[in-house]
Amino acid sequence: MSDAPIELVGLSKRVPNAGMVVDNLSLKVEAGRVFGLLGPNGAGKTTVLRMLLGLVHPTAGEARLFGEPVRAGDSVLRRVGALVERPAFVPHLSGFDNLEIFWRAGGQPLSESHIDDALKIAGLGKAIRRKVRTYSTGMRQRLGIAQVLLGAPDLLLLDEPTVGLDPEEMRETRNLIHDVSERGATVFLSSHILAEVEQVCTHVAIMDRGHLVSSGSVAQMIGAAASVYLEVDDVDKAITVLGSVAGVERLVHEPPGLSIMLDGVQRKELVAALVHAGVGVETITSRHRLEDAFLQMLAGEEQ
Amino acid sequence: MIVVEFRKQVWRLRTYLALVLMIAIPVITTVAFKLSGGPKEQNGQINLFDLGTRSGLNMPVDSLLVMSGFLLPVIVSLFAGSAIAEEASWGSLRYLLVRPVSRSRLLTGKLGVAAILALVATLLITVTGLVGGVIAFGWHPIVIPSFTSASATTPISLTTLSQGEALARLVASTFYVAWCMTGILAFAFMLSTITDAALGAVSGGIGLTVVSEILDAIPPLRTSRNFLITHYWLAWTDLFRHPVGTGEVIRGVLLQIPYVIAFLLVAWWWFHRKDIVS
Repeated sequence: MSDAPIELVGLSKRVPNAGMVVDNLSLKVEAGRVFGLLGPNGAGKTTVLRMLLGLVHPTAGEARLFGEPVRAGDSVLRRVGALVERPAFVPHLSGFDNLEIFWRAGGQPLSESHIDDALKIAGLGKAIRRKVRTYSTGMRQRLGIAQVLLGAPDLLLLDEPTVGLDPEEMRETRNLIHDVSERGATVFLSSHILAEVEQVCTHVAIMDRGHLVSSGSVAQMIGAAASVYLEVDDVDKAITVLGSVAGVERLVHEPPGLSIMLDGVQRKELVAALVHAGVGVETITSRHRLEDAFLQMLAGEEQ
Repeated sequence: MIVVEFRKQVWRLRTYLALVLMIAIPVITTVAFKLSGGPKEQNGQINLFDLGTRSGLNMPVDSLLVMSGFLLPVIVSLFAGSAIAEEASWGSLRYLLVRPVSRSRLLTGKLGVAAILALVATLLITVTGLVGGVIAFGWHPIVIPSFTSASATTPISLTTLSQGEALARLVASTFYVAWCMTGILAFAFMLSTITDAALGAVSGGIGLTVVSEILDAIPPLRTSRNFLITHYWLAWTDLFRHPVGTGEVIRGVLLQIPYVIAFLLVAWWWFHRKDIVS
């Protein structure tokens, strides 16, 4: 049995009237990585997170944290900071009181927490003494992240950590994840914002309908996708021409040009087809994006 | 855990309002008795409630009579029914469990706080009735109905008990009333572990009280009524009669035990196997 921060072995969950929402998932997250779990809505990502935290009982298989099978209320969870779906607090208490009672519920005095660092990260100023019911979504998210970091955990489990944040706050959160990772903690996050995952994560796993589709380093994933961006003088005509070229997987109008995902067709063949149809090609650049890899893999799954 | 949970509940307007109600009703009853001279005997029939103005020590007895049948069970259902369900509805239940707080420790802490608040509510009825009663009607020996035997139902005269004896029976009655609430408390708490809707759990506790009291009023049900959760709720009044009756009080104490055990076993079993998706 390894001591990896996260290890899933044949993890499965059957839900009445919904079937297998997680099906035989096996995955290992090594220490120090920033690991992204990607998938469309309903892929089972949040269920995986909940099973990792002992909130949901697996139907089969095992979830392990630092080599120990996870059970509800296990002491190994002290090494984990988690944000599941959205932050949640006792609405009639202040932000500070919420942090305090959350920490003390674990039987430890507040002096053993990193409350000062957490308050700095929350950045709520005097609002920390206001009742949480008066907070905006962004303020709650910041308080939630502060709560996650109260115990300086070795493992962070984050479910959509930048939901509700403005662009500057998103950037601060990404920097925070980076800082936490630099200090040696492992981060496991799920997100729909693929560009963000691409910036933050070192490794990703893609889920669809409860199955693991693919996993590996971000660099490996991006390298697997072939994508080009074309700027042409007649977009409508170009769409018509390229729509009939074999090997064009996906064609999206992203002004001012076109984003094209390729499968087995070379760039020169695209250019030749456009020129032959009288469409002028102004620029053609290669793009390797996680979003393209993600969509390509999901399309492959459907086939 | 109990300290943390207590802090969550104490700083709530709802808690204050519930406890203020426990104070307000005895005060209103005392003032009403004082201004009106108290209820008059009907057709020469004496009952415990009519004796409220005879001594300040009679008022807490009347307060318990007024409130223990419905309002107190409503308050108890409120504290117990919202214990787990409200935390689930806020979404903070999952974070507590991940802290980590074991499921048993969480249940114990929340049940303990609900029970403490229920006891405090009951004590407030008696204490407020006593203080108000003594101010309004003085510190005199308590006046109670007298019967030919412990099982007789028609009082023949009145008798007095010393203040010390009255206080002792008042304390016993208060704790008996609080104990009688444990079955409802356990039921509402059990519902709180099953549903994420606090209102549903609270309503369930109130519903059980109402249904039990309705069934208890149906004579054809005969001795099966003896097993209804509310059947012996007023048995404590036998402590305020001469000669004193303790048989029904003992049965009332024993009756709550299987209800409490059964409901709490279900609550523990259900909560441990439940997937927390809220």
